[in-house]
Amino acid sequence: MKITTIRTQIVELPNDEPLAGFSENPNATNPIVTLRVGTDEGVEGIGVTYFGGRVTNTLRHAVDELGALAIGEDPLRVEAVAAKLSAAAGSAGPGGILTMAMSAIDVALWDIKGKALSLPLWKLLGGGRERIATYASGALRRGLKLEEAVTAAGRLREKGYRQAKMQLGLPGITSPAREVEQARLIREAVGPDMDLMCDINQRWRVEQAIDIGKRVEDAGVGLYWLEDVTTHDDYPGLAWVAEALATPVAGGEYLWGIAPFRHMLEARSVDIVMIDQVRSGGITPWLKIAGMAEAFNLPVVSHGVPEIHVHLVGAVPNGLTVEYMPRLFRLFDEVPVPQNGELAMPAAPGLGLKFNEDAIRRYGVA
Amino acid sequence: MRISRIRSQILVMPQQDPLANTPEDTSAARPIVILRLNTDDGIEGIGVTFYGGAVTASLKRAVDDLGALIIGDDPLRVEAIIAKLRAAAGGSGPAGIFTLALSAIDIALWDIRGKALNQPLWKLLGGARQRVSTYASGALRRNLSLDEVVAAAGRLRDKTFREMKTQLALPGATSPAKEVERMRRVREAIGPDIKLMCDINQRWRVEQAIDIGKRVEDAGVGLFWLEDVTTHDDYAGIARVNAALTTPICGGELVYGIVPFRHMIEARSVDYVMIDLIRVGGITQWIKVAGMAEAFNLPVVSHVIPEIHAHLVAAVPNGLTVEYMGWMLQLFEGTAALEDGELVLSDRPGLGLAFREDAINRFKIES
Repeated sequence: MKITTIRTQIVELPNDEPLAGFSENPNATNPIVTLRVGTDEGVEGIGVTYFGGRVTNTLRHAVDELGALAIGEDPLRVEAVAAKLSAAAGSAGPGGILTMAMSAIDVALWDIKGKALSLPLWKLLGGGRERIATYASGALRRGLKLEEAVTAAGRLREKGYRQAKMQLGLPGITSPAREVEQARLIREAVGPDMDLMCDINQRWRVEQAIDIGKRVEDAGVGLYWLEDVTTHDDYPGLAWVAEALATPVAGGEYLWGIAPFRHMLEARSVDIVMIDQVRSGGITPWLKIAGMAEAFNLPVVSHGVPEIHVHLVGAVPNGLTVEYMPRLFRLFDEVPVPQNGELAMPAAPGLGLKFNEDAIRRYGVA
Repeated sequence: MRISRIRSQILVMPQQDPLANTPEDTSAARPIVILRLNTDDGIEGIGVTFYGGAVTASLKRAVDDLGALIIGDDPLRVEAIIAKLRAAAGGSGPAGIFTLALSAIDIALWDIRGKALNQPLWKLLGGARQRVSTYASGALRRNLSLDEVVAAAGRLRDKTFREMKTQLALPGATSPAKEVERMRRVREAIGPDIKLMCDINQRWRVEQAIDIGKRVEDAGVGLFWLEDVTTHDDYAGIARVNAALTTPICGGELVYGIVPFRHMIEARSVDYVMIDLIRVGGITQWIKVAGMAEAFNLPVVSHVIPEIHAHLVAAVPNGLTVEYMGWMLQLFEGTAALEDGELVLSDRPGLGLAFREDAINRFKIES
């Protein structure tokens, strides 16, 4: 089998919030690069990449240039294709746009492989389980008013979610007391039985993370994890927080490729390893990191794009839960939908996803 | 003062060896992106970026995308511009193409600043010295035959270079004995007084680096430094090599931004910190890493583009030597003069450089 065509497009999806209905910034859009890789046997694989911000055109351009180099290659030889692209453009990485572009190609190649072998990816990659826990994300953001966040939290509970993530590191004038109050009220709204995660998105300093983290513990909020408590690559700083708090500390979504995860794990920075399939470089490196985490006795969780990550977290033995973040839902005909707080593994081969052509026409910009 | 215009262009520079005239691969070429940034009061700053390989058109696109965002900004407020571009580019950095593109802009902003203040950059940035040591690089590469490398080393000595770099981790069938023999012969060709560096370009495993490194020491080659002995981000592995050898260990050129340098330095991986202007994010970040290295009592050295790096190594107190790599010498007028193995900085403001239009016309490609 040979790769014959590469087609990319930029779509700008609306930044709405379908889970609980309160968008932090309803007028914003999220630019996404879509990729279709065709083969001489008629199998088409799809991939996506994002995080490009105002240089999304550049990201798309990188996917096109790398994709052109993959024409004629055997799509099943994922590592050989990655080695070729790295050799051709490796000095533009590791990390950054090169890695994000290679990730889209890697995902599409795995989609092709699953389709060629008539297996859904979760089974091809290990087949750990048929159902996986998932948590509502993006619905309880720090930009919402407190009443909105509390209302949204109640809606998530009513919808049957068993796990949900909120955010602290509040904007504007805040204080440890206000931060704790926000966490307390959201816990009250979701009730005692829901797993409640909390994301700081690198907004605290180390000593703040320990101070507020302890106050949240003392208030009896009972967090399932506290995420990205400080600058993502301050591995000893994160380890300090992980050591000081009883609450599990999660992190990893900002790391490029596999080696920084080694640094983070060796420093004992986190209790729960979050892997982003775009920044890690695709499905191939994602699995390597999950295996390394297993050797450290650590569970792994996903960041963004549950449509793809459901396969990965479901495949590996130490997969804990899938972030249910609806940012890309409009892009696909059908997406996995939680039942009783869990996602069932997709049955269709490969990713089991199809681009929604209407959405691509509607939101396509370039 | 406001930024009024930005223009970028891709050039493909031939991979010549102007120092000893023994190129490794005469057909190879190196794509680079050049940048011109203009202000409303008539100053033009120039910058370059590279390492784009097969995605160089994407790198140019990133420079254009980012450059468009700073039209109307004050070019002297470098940190404000960096913050704006980081925010706009969202999650596409740090590192990679975003950082490579940002470097070109940062360099051009510093060139503008030097011209606006009528000061050469080496002086504006600290002015520790106006003459700085330099070493011949790129001439004694691993793909040359032993006879070629020995002859080229002799030519460098005749040209009065006092410092020069060769490479080990030879291609094809090699052995510790072959590696040592090559070093011995190169040392013989240049005599005992020239400082000789050796670059491994990440090709050894940790235990190989220790084994061959010790054999080279035992053979009395006397290396000034051994560079990139193993995978660049295996800080603990590099530190192990560093602890095992008396030869100074050098590294850092492959590191993006300032934070990984902290990791590398905290792990005591290297004795000499090599900073690459393009991967670190430009002049602003280069100077920060140099200051951090100073706090660890470590000297800093530069990686390629001596036309710009001469200013930086000369400016800081712990600047040791400038890698004299001939990749882009054809592109510029006004490069620092090479005298008795040292680079002498001019008093021209900013970078003191201008693009040679004949070189641009010769090496430009449509994009």
